[in-house]
Amino acid sequence: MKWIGLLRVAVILLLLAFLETLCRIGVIDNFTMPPPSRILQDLERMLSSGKLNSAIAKTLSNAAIAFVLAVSVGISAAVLIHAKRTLREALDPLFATYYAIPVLAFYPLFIIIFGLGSAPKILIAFMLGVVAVIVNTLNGLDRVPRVLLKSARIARLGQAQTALKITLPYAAPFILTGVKFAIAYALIGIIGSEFIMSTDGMGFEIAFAYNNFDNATMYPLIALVVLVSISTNMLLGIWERRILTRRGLQ
Amino acid sequence: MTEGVVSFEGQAIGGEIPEGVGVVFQEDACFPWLNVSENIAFGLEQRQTPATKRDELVTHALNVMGLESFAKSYPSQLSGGMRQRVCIARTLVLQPRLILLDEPFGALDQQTRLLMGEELLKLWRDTGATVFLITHALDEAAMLADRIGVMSARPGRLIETISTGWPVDRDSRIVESPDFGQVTARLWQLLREESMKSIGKGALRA
Repeated sequence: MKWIGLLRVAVILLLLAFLETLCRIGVIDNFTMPPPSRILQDLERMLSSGKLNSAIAKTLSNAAIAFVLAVSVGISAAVLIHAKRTLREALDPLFATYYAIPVLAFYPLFIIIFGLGSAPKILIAFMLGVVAVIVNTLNGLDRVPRVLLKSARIARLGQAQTALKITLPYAAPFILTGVKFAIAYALIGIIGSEFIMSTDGMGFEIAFAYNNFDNATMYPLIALVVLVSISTNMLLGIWERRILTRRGLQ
Repeated sequence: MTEGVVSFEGQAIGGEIPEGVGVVFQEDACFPWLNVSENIAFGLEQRQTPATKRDELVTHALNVMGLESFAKSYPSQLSGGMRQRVCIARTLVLQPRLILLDEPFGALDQQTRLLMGEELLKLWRDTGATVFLITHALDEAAMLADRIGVMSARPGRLIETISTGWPVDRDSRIVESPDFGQVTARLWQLLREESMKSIGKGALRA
């Protein structure tokens, strides 16, 4: 198990080294992309200069708000929908086709309604994530064995208590899948809308640097987004593994 | 019979299950996200039993069920029989006044079954709870029960109620008494008639 982890790191390092070589020997010229080592140096310089810290803070906090909203609203909605059979039957086909909607296309409309602030971006990111949370939570709730529901009745738990103490804990591994989607969608939604139209944020700064051939800003920002996304996902992965091991599923 | 009333301690039962009833199911009803002690403590926490009292009861239940060394294990790490013992412990710590057992020992091996039976008798004496046990094992019924209701095959009706007349302070050694042979023989006879009937019907249909 341990050496597989090492192998994984080795593969990533090898790919980076390959990219580095291509950049250094001029196969990829420096105007297209600076070598990875240079990007890291630029990232460090960018962060220590603090010039873009407010943009980074803006994006990450907006993504965090959208994420928390998508998860809390998503889980509560799933519990309600699960309890009401007719509602479930009415909504299921809509959930199935929901991701055919290009949510980002509504962004200009939301700007007209809410103005060019954080609200329309958070709404976009929330809309992208919430249905993934609902669908995965419903999937988990569907799998709760009947005998556990009977146990809840014997323990005289009310509906809310049954959800909190029995069904949601049982569904936790499935909910976690939705939560991982919500993180990815929160970043996509916020940065994507910042790209399209915004006055601040990482997406805005990346687009701005792109328009000014400012590779020393653009690449480090992209690298930072990737690092944030991968590290949050890895943290959740540790939690997920712990839950799955407990249940003998891994 | 097409109508009737189910009542518990003189109160008719509506949709809700009254306080004081404990049930052990045939299937595995352990909570997979909780470890063994947390599983056993579940109902006590629900009742907001003080922590010291709760721990005391849980420790006692762990000892009785032979689960001491698995207190921190998760159900997935236990055998089917051990999981069933966790469920039984989870019910018994609440000291219910009526205990419904739906083939609870089905998943257990013979030795554990015998021990659990003795434990059940002891518990019944200590608490004075009414125990309602559903089982397919005739010796289990004959050994544990004061009264045995024999059910017919479909439709399930009570065809006979047998009083065993065992003393209250019995244990599994009751199987050595000659009366035990008589009770089991009667149970066999009744069940044989029933199964002959249903098999006969099946044969006719075919």
